[in-house]
Amino acid sequence: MKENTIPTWRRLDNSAKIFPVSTGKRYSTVFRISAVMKENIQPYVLKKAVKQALNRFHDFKVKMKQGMFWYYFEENNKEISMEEEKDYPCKYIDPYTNHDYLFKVTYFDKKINMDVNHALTDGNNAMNFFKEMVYSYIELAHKKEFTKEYRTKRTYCYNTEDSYMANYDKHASNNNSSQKAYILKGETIPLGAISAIHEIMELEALKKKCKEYDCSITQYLTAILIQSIYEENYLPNKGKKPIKVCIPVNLKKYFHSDTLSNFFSYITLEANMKEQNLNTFEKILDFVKEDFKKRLTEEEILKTMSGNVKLGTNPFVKIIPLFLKKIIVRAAYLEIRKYTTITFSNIGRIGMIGKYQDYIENFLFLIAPDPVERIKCSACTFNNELVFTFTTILNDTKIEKRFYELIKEQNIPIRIESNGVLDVISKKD
Amino acid sequence: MLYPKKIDAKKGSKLVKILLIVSACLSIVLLLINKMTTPDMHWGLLTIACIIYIWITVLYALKKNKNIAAHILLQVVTISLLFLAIDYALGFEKWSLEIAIPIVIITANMIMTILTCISYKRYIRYVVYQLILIIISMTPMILITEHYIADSLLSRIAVWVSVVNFIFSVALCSKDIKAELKRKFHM
Repeated sequence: MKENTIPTWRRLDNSAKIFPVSTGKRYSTVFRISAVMKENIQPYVLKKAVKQALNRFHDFKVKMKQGMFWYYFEENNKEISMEEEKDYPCKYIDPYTNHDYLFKVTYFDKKINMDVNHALTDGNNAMNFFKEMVYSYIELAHKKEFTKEYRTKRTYCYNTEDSYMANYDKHASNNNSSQKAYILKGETIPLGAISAIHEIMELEALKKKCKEYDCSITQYLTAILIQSIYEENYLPNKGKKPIKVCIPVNLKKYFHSDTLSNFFSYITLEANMKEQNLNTFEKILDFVKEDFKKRLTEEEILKTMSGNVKLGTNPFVKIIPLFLKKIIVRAAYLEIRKYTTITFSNIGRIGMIGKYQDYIENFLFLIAPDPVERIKCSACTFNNELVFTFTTILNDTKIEKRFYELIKEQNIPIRIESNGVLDVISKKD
Repeated sequence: MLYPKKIDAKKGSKLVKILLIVSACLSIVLLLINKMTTPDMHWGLLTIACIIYIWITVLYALKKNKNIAAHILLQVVTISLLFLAIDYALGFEKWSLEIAIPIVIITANMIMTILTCISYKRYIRYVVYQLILIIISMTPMILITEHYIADSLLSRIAVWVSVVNFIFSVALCSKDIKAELKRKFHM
């Protein structure tokens, strides 16, 4: 019989509260991080590595439970399950098939995947956990090469505090735009399939181009993305509303926090294509640079973050029973999401310690699309490559194809990999 | 190659969907036969109630993570409703409220008490279901007070068994009850 210990529990952070209330098979709130290794994955070794990583990131050993008013996390002592990849990326994680864990590790060929329910943590923290898993995997798979200690087995300095509550400003005014966004038009792929298209660019050439235009990589790629949407979806469908691009922001860059829970916010670029006459790449890029400058300030970010915190701490919202919250939020969520055309999340450079890099080909980062935001984009950089990923439920590849052409026109070497759901583009080049 | 060629789309359990459609068709056919042959006797409703009961039990049993206390609670609710439906279909002589449901409540409370005794170290997992069962167990008392059913020994026993179950649980596992209520009702 088990020991008489009451399992520990903790509240969900302010941002995470919304995810389980709105989540479902059609809107999974799952993101994926993958590492493409240089050799085939050994499942038994991987399982050991996951266990080792979990021992260091103990706060990820949780399951989600329902309370009367909110969901909460409870300690999970079950063994972590792991299987070969056989489903589309970023699909809803069914707790019953995953020993209640909020993340799922799968493998295929040379690739390790970790799908994470966003309620558990954000991309930045998940990446730290995933890197620990990859480090452990390499060490266990190549014991002879790693007899010496190549990295300090430091104890990670983290906690699970709700950093939103610690940093928000009660008096900050709301800066949300009231104008709805242009929603991408087109038929969707049947049977719940998700297409993943990775556009892999040479980093040095990309950096050089960004230097030429005096902009950051995120700004440059956002401008290309807006132009692709404008030419391939907005113009043919005679769009009127602005193209709004949601860019998640890691709040740890602005506020001190050691939390392992979510701590991100976002800025939303609002491109009024006709009013601002944004019909060339140069004009779009100038607009993106200007809008970034305007919105990516501590003051603006604090306003967005505080607005969201105030909603979660509103006494009227608090006292609504969970089952009613679910009904209300699910009904309202499709409407709420109409304020964004597309999300583009760039988690930046993934740094790995020198010797370990030799075993890794690349990293991938993917976000789940949903019925309203039918395409989501993400990017990450490893060594001299940036992988820009489209995850989509749209049944055509015009935007992805145009994005590829625009990058190619700018003389940046680029190649494509995909999961084959929409095969047309992957045959190109 | 980054992804497997053949992806398992998990279209849901087809068998369950087919059986659900078959059940729905069967219910309609039975209702029609009932209407056409013996319209004064509502046996068609009875069979539909039984089909619904079976489906609730089966679908809940397929959920792997539910603990035994949750199953007991579900059975108390569904069997009680089934008895009510049968009683109603046969003329509503209130035997379901006066005899059947008290027996169900007594049985469930006894099982819960035994469960508490033999696995009290895992009691925290049962707390919520236990408390809901105790609240449901008060139904005969309310019905007697409202003079909706006759005051019977069986109903009184049902209420007393649940009170004893509650006292027993509090005495043995008060710490667990407090901890569970705190997490379930956090704002």
